[in-house]
Amino acid sequence: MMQPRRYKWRKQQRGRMRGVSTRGHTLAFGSFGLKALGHAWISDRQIEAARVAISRFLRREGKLWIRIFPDKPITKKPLEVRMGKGKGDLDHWAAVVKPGRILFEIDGVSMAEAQEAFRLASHKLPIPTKFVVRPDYQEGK
Amino acid sequence: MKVIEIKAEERTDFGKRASRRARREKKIPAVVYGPDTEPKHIYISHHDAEVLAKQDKAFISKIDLGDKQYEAIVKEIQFHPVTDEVLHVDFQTFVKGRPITLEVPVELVGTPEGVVKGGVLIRKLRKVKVQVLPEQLKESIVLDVSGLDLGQSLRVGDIKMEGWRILHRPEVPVATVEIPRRLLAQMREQEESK
Repeated sequence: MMQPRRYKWRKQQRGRMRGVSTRGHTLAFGSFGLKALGHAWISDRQIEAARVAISRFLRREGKLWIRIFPDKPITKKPLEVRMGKGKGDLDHWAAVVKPGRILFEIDGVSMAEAQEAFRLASHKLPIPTKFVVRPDYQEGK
Repeated sequence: MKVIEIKAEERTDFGKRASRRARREKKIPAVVYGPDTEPKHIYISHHDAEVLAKQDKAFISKIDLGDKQYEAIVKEIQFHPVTDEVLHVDFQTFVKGRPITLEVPVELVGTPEGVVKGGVLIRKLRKVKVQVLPEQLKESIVLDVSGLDLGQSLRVGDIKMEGWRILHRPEVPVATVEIPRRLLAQMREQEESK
């Protein structure tokens, strides 16, 4: 699963997710993409599950880019522990995603194949998404 | 060179409130600027803006503002981050004999040798930023990739266009024939068996 190689601070404040994505909202590499339509912390497991769903469907054809990275440490208190006594321990990592963010990109496959791969991947994610195509895309070129 | 004709109307009300109202009425705010041209704020139709955004080749726009006509290139198109609708268009006029900077699409022709052997052609750069005289401008840069073998790349340095100044570094790859993992494993097995 994806996680930072090293980090400066072990725990982070939660922060807020307001507005739409101001960066990473256009296709940069591939012809097709999966765009987020909601706000969420997307966990490392969810990103991995979506990646596996795409690569299993495409059977290693084409090329996949993952445009989000889980760099936010999420902490959790153990079960049946009273409140207080400090912040919980690191549980997993998550990517902060706002509407508009491109989550995955694919190239080198047909539009129908990309659409189906992203449909399968979207079922692994906690937010609604939509399929996007490069504006100047033409099938077979 | 492809020419797209656009009917425009002058814009007198500015700011996000007026722009949002205009977008609801299917009019897209735009601006025309350039050398020897006073910046002019205009509206173009939503349909025309979509047509401009969907072009896969370089083109010149002829903007008809009733009393004034402009010949321009599209410098930038802004899209809404979520809905992907066109929000704003920048047109830049040009003067013949003075170079303009713009992005020209790259068109790849031919089937690479590497693809015949099982490789996958990956495009790394779809548009190349160039500086060129308006009269020398072409719809696209055509590159022949038929000579590319497995693992080989075509780079910006390989683009030969007379009179064009390419603003990327020459080592930047335009297209690469990548070796799929399955084929790479087969090649390694063959080498080991030898």
